Amino acid sequence: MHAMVAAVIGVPIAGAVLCLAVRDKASKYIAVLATAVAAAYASAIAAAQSKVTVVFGGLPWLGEGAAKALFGYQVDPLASIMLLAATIIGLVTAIYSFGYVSVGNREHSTSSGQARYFFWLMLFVASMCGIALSPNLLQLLIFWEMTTLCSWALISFYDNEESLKAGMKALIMTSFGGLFFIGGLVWVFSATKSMGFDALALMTPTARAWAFVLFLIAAWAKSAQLPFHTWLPDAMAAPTPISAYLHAASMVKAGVFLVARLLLAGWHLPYDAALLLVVAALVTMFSALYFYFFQSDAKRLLAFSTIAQLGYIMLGLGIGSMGADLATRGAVLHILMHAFAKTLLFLSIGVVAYTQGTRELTKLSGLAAKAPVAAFGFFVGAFALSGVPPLPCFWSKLYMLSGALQLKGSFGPVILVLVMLESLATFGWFLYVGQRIFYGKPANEDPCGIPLSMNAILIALILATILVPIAGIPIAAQIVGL
Amino acid sequence: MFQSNVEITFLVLVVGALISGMSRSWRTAGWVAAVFVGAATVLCWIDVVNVLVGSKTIHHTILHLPLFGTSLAVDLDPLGAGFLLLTIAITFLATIYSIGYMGGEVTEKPLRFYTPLLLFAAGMIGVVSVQDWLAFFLFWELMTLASYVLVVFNREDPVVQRAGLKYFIMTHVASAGLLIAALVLWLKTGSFSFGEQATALKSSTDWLRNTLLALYFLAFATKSGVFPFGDWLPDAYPAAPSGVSAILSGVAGKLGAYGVLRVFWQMMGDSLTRAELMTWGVVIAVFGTVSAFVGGVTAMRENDFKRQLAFSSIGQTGYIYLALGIGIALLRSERLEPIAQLALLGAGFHILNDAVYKSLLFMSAGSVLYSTGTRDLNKVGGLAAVMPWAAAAAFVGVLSLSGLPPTNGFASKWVIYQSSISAGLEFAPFLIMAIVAFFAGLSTFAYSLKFFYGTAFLGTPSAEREPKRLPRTMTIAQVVLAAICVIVGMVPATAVKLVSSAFQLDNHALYRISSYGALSTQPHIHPLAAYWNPVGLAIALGVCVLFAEFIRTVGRPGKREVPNWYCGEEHVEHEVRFRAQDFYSAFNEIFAKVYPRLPAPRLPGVKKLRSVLDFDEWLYQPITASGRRIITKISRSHAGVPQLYIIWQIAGMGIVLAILLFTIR
Amino acid sequence: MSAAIPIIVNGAIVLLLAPLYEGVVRKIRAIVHSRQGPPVTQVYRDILKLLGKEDLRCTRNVLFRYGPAVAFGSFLVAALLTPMGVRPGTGLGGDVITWIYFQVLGAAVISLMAVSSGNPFSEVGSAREMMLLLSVEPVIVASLIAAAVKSNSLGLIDMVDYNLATGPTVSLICGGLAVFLALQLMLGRIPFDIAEAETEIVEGPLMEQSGPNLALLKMALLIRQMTYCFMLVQVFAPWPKIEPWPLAVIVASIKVLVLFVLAGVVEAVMPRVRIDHALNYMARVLFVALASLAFAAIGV
Repeated sequence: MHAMVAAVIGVPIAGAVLCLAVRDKASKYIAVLATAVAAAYASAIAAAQSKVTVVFGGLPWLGEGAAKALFGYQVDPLASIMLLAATIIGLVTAIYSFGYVSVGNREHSTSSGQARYFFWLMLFVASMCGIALSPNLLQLLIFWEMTTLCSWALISFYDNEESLKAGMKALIMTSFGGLFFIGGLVWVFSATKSMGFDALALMTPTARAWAFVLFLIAAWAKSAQLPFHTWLPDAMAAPTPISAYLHAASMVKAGVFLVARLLLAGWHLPYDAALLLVVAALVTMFSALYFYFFQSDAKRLLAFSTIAQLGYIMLGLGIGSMGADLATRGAVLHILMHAFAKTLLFLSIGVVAYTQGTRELTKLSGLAAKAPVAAFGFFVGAFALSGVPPLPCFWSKLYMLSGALQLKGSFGPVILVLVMLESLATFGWFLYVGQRIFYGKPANEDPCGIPLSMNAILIALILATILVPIAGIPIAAQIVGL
Repeated sequence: MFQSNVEITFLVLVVGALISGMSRSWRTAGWVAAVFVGAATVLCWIDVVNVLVGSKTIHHTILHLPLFGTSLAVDLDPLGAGFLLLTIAITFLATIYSIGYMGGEVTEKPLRFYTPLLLFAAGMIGVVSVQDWLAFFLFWELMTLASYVLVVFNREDPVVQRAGLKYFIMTHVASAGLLIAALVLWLKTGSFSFGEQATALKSSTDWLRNTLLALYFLAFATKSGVFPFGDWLPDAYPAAPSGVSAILSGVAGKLGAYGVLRVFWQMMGDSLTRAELMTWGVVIAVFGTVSAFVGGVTAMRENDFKRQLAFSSIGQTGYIYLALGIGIALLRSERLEPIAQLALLGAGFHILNDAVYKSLLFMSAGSVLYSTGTRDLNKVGGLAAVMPWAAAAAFVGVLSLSGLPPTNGFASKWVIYQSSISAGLEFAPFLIMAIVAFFAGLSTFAYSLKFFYGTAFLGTPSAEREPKRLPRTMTIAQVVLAAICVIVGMVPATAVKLVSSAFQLDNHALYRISSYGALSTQPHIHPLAAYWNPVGLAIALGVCVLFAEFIRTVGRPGKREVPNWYCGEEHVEHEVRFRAQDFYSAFNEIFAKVYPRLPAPRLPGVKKLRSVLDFDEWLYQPITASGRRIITKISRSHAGVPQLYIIWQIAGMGIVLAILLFTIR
Repeated sequence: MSAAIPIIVNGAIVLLLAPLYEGVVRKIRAIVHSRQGPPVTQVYRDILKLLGKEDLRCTRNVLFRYGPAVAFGSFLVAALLTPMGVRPGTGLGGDVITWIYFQVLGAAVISLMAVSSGNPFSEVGSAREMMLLLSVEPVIVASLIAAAVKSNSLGLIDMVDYNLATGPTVSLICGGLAVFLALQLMLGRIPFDIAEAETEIVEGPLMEQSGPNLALLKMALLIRQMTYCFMLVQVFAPWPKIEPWPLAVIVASIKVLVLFVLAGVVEAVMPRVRIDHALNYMARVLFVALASLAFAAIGV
């Protein structure tokens, strides 16, 4: 286990360093190789289905007890889910970037900078794995801020004014949230002399609720929840694979992961705080849904959909902390399911942008004949996302809905109806958008060469998306209630 | 490993979907698909015969899913077997038909047609052969998904796109209700099986039970296309390729009725109170009657013949729901149980017949479309000369649809009218429904005969385009269906027996079938005596027609071919055509408001909410802007002027001194 | 009673008596118009003459060729199912629903035949015929269902028996009234001869037919008229009960003749109405029919 964990984090870091060393040409091969190794080991960790917490070292000067043991790793179902999402999608992204970050790209033709690109990407994979495997709040915070940094660098990759601004915005807003994380950490540590996830259990219920709210604000900022949602749509200035990976599959998941980690650490969240979590999630979901209808840029639409789907996860966690353990399971499962579905959507849109040079919905039409794989991918992704059975998100939503029904009183049915509404509206809108982009008469007659690597990875991802429930559900089923 | 043919069938269809999708030639793909569906048909029918004739049920588990407290199992009972028989047979014929139909000027790949077609069939088979709500829901959605792909086959056409969108969204929304119901009951019992969920439903509170029943009804009624839930139907059926329209209307729509039968009769028939049964029965019957009326009247107005047939599907579904409603309303009442059974028999029989003739008619419509390239009735005519066999088949289909003897449409409508009038003896509103149904039946006849058949196959040819001849596969499929219509209409006894064994009705208590095929209901258990001898009447009709022919030829008249006579005026034939849109104009004015096209609703306050939710606009940008202003102001203090720095230093020193003075004191 | 008797009797009545009745109507119309008029046997002569005339074909369509025969056949079957004083045998077998649908089948075939001719006059006539049928059938159906409700049977003969046994009831009088009010339309006579309308669309559906086919069509329409009238007098006013069936047949035939005469007088004094007026009129008659149904449902 030690070796596997070391490989998962270490190989990408090594890959990142190597990328800088070899410069542009070979960097992409290194990146693919490194992520492939990480993905393989992550799968092995997930398949082992073990629950271990190992600690190597600490900071004795911080005091007695738990503070001594601060660095190590923790493997459990939640970590496995997050690892799978981070490494497999990382691998997909790396292969896809192979073709995408190239001269042939009609939206952003790129001839240099691959080394920089893959360096940050590798670093990001490593820090995401670090988040997943962190055994306590301090280590999590370190990796957390690393992802923020990588995100800033990757959003600004194109170096133009728009992307620089978007990168800065993302950096400021997420690190603003990070401040609350630090605040919460300091408070918890000073109150309990522990930085473990279960430290909150030692606090009084009121203090616990307030400390949780501090972490929650950090999570909201990271996961682009209301009122911190505005950075995510702007961050779509990043290269599409980056949007797919960071802003759908992994980085934004760090926020919900933090909340899940805290809630699964075996302490009881006061009802009011849970209510806040649930209501904020619902508000986020519906606000994001509302914005669907005004987006003319396909990627911005996907960004809002990501916001809504993260709201789902928050909602599931909230209901879970009210006592419906099925909902917690569903929320954790949704981290993985959504990662696949949304990445598929992003990569399909990426192909469209690659060939057409634009992401404006009004300018796109009739692409199904030219880019059949992308069309198929988009529809599979859209159906998967909106919960058409038996595609991934159906299962996670099934868990969450049944969790909602576990609640006493009329709250559960109300949530059920709201969730259904959101889901169906998403379904309808994505179907509409998909038809708009891919059906109809072609907008122009330009032939479009799509790199083999992009098409191949898209096909692989489609298959993976269809099959991922088989892997995900058993893992999520091990997550025991609060 | 395989214990029943159903799962082999499923595999056969999935494999067939993959193989036929790989071919690049439409012809090859079509024949491959037809072979696979044909094999599936044979396999299914073996099971169906085992279940219906051998009266045993097939039940075995394929896969356990302990995580969801359920298992995937093939579970074929007579009701499912009856629908299975119909589904796969019609699908097979439609596939044969499609070989010719899709062979024309299609630029798309066969992958986009045959693969979803076979998956669609697989979904339908799945739906009828499971007894588990989760599996049911999965297959149900597979069916919807595959049929959506087929509906948007001509995806370049914006009308088709809209139709597909509407179809998928409406049915998907409605089937969400199924999922909710299944989940609610799952949490109560931990099982998805029909039986246990029914028990849970029985023990629920009245409020919950009726809400869930409403959800079921909504989902199934939407799929069947009951007015007003079937608003998607007039758009989607015409949009799909005609072979698919035939399946959609012929069998997929019937699966909604299957759902209603399952839930309200098989699952809940024993456990609902009489009052609840009555209420739900009346609700279903009222929706049925309204659909029958609306479908009939609107179809008269329509000038697009596939759309017209789509409205007619709404109408015929209405008949089925009317009969279902009556059956459910009178279920388990002491005296009227036979009427309930008669109504259910009528519903089942009409499902069978409607499947046959409606798919036939959609194929006929497809033939016209194939031949002329237009769906506008104003632009077609005189096709009987181009496609005599198809025209004859369409004639039979039209007679059936209108419920005229001696065809199968009459046979089942006879039972439905009879049961609704009998039910009306006890509960007068059913009488009104019977009258409305009669009227709808006649309007069916009016639009189908005059409008569809009359103007498309008869009448004057339109001058616009030379019509194409039909491939043989298309003709064969139509002729086979037409033959079934006539045979079932003339000798309904076998079909009636089939339906009653699928529905497990006590046929001796219900009706009598005499040796020569006459049907009668027995007066002593059933308040209304009725009698109908299809064979006798068919012979009588034949004799009378021969007699007429005898009269006709007795004077040995000469014959001569002449042009049309326009009262002495000279006209070019196609210039004086009586166009389809002028038929029934007087009537259509009366019913103009029956199915209006409503404008899309507009929501107020959209913009306002949008700016409220845009936090950048009113929160973050002002904050950053003011932050930047403050920073700019501060940066002005570093202007690089030495004098300014000295002033700062002096001021700073003053402050430090002041602080020191205060603290020391 | 042998099963063949009712078939022979009914067939003979409609085939032999119908032209005579039509001749009487023509004579009466002539008298009202102060004309001499043709002899009462004129219709027989017309038909016999037509049978020998040349058969002109404007199309090769099968329906055009065989339509008249099929229409004739289905109206004849409906006539055989009608109780005309002698009880219809059970061998033929058919209740009121069958009866209605054989009537409709005949009308349908005539419409199709008309459309198949390709003549716009025929098509107009055919469309009108259909609309009239749609407006009149609900009245007939509602009234007959009222009778069915009262007599607990869908058999026409059971309705007759019931009415004979119990005497006049409010619902059946009401139903009879509705059918009577619709009679002129059912017979296709002025003011409701909108479908044929000789002076306007030149006999509409029949326009392109000639010779023996025209003869068949004329006979078919006459059979239909006879059947409707017999249905009205037998189901809604069968009294008195007369025992030996030949006498009953004669009484019923006389009643039908009275109806024909009445219809002829109305035809002679009225102008033709427009189709929308006819539809409005039938909508009102439908209320009477529904009233009969309501009465039947409450048991009076």
